Amino acid sequence: MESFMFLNLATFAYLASAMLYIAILIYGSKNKTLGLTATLVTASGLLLSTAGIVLRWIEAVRMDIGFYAPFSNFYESLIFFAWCVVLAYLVLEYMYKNQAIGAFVMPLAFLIQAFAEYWPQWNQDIRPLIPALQSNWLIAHVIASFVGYAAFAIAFGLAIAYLLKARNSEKSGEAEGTGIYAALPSLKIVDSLIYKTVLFGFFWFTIGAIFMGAIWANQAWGTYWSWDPKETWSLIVWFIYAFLLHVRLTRDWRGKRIAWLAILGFFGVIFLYYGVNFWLGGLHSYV
Amino acid sequence: MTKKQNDVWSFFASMKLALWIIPILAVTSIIGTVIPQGHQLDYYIQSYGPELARLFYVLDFTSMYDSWWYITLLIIFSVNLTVCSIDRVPTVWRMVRLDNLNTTPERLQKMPLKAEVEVDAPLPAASVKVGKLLAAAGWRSASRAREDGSIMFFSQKGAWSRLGPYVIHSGIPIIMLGAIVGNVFGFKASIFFPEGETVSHVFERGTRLPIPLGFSMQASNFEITRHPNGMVREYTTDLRIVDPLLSEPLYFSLMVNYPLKHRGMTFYQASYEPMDEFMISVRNKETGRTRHALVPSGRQVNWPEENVLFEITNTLTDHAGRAHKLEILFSEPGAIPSVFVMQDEQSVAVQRPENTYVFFVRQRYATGIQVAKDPGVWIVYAGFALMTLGLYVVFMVTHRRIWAHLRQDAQGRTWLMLCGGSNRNKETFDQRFTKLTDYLRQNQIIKSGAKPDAKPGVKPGTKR
Repeated sequence: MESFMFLNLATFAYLASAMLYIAILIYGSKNKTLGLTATLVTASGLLLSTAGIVLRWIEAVRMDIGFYAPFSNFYESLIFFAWCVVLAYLVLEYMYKNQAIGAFVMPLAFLIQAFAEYWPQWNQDIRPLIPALQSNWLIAHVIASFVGYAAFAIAFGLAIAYLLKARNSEKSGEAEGTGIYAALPSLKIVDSLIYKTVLFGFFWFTIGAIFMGAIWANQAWGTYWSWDPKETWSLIVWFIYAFLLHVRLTRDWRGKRIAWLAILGFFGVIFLYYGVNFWLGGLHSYV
Repeated sequence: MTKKQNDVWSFFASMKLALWIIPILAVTSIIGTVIPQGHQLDYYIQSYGPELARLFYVLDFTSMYDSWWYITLLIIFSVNLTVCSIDRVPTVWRMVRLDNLNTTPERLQKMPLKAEVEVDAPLPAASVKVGKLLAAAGWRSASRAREDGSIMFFSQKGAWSRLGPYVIHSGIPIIMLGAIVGNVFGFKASIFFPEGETVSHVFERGTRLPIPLGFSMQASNFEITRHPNGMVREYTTDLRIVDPLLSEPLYFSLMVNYPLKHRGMTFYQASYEPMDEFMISVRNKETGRTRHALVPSGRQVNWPEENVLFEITNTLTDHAGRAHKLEILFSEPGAIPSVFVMQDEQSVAVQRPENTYVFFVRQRYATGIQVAKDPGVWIVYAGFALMTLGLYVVFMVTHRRIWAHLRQDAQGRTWLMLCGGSNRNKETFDQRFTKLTDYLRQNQIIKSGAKPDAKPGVKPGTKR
């Protein structure tokens, strides 16, 4: 199956990309060739992954196993998660023309992809879907949810960058830090980026994960909300990010406190995504 | 309002309460995902020991999402959110309706984005030109002459977007209302019955009390299709509904994700189970005479007209109860029997001394159907729609304002002061503002290079 080859190559591209962005962070962004190489390697990683996902879909259709979408088990959803993170990062890099953030996002994308490819727990075969998953809601619900997850992942990466930079700035006495930290966008901009990515993620998470999930649940199981662990945890994550947005907008919390909340929120996302399925079970335990 | 009511109001109108109740809900909600919900006391005693089990029972941790304290938290959350919003909407509404033409030039000086330039025309003519150019650049403006003879222009976009957060908030109590309506006027029930049977009741979830349907429902057929690897592809119950309100029976193939709506109730294909019962049909190949039988394994069937008897003597079933292999005995009384192994839903020709028979066997299944009556679901969806709309507005629509103040100085020169601001996406607005001033320059209405102040021109906003 060719899709595996493409997805495997994408893993290596993500690794190379992560190392290149770390190099940029360490050696500075003055070397234009290095910067361009990093962006091109990342973009080709994204293309390889796209090819892999599309091919996998085509392979599934050729197998004639009924309705299928290439994010219907944990392995595929991780690949798609990494894909969303990389795409969102490239958009962010293009919008803000700063590559230092890549050192905090691409390692995350690589880890997600490598987790999918090398963790022995996953069955990577294309398998037919159980009847409950055979619905177009699968496509809409999963894509929108993962756009939200990806935004939260990026906010997490930015929050780590913010906290490291803020600590460096406090120690060195320099407002924007020293050395590699000075290469990052200003604290104010990283802070505003965290807020914006969280708001973007909140939008997609609310609509895609919670609303579409509820409507689909109502169609498949006859109830839009049953306090299943997956549903409850999505609500918990929603509360964490709602809290972040409200303390920022009404209490003017900034900087470190928002960064810590973005980190907490992402731990919630990880638990919602991985922990609920493998430690708690419930109706939603297949993906 | 009395003093007391006022206290209650301000308690619920406080943001502080909201910032407490949100984390409290987030943390307490975890409990019910860690402690399995809705089991019998014995289960908790076995899993956690008697002390913890009793504590869980006292604190309603065993069905916490409908416990009094959790519901109370949800009610406080909704009331807080509603009162907070009602409390703040009038202020925001005034902001939306604000007469911005009344803004003083002194206020404009404090705006983050400013550009002051000289206009190459006397005041009345300049006024017409500025109005036209602003409109052409997409900023249709209103204007008003001020007492000092100067003219104030104002244009804005998306002022209503300031209401976005309150549209989001309004969705939450509406969803709660929908949930209450569903709980009070609806029910959740299920029924599990073998194919071929007819039912006219379903059983309420929890209480297990029968709820009459008002019509009868027959599972005329149950079908599973499988993938080559044996995984279930889909399963279908063919329903035949005989309703006194309908002149003809209603037929529907019920599948997962394809529910049936009838009389305000929705029927969902939920589960199935193979039974230890088999539908056998035996046909005499010569005469075509056929005998049907529905029997469990181990029970012998006699067919006196043909003087034969048959029996499923043994079955090989998997853990789910599905029979993969069936051992059949077929004989005339007293004769040497034919014993053979066949699969489910297979036809086998049995040759006996006198006749040949076609033997077909099919395992019987019971179908599990969920029934829900939820008149609140559309209210819940309306809440979703409102929240989606509000989120879209908050995320996508920006309130952008442009002021233009046209004045004549003591030397008779005309000056245009352009100011603006936006409530979010400030970087994008900075660019638009620069574009607007450039546009005015390109149209040569504004003399370039004229500098009335020490720091003229566009003051850059936040730099990247």
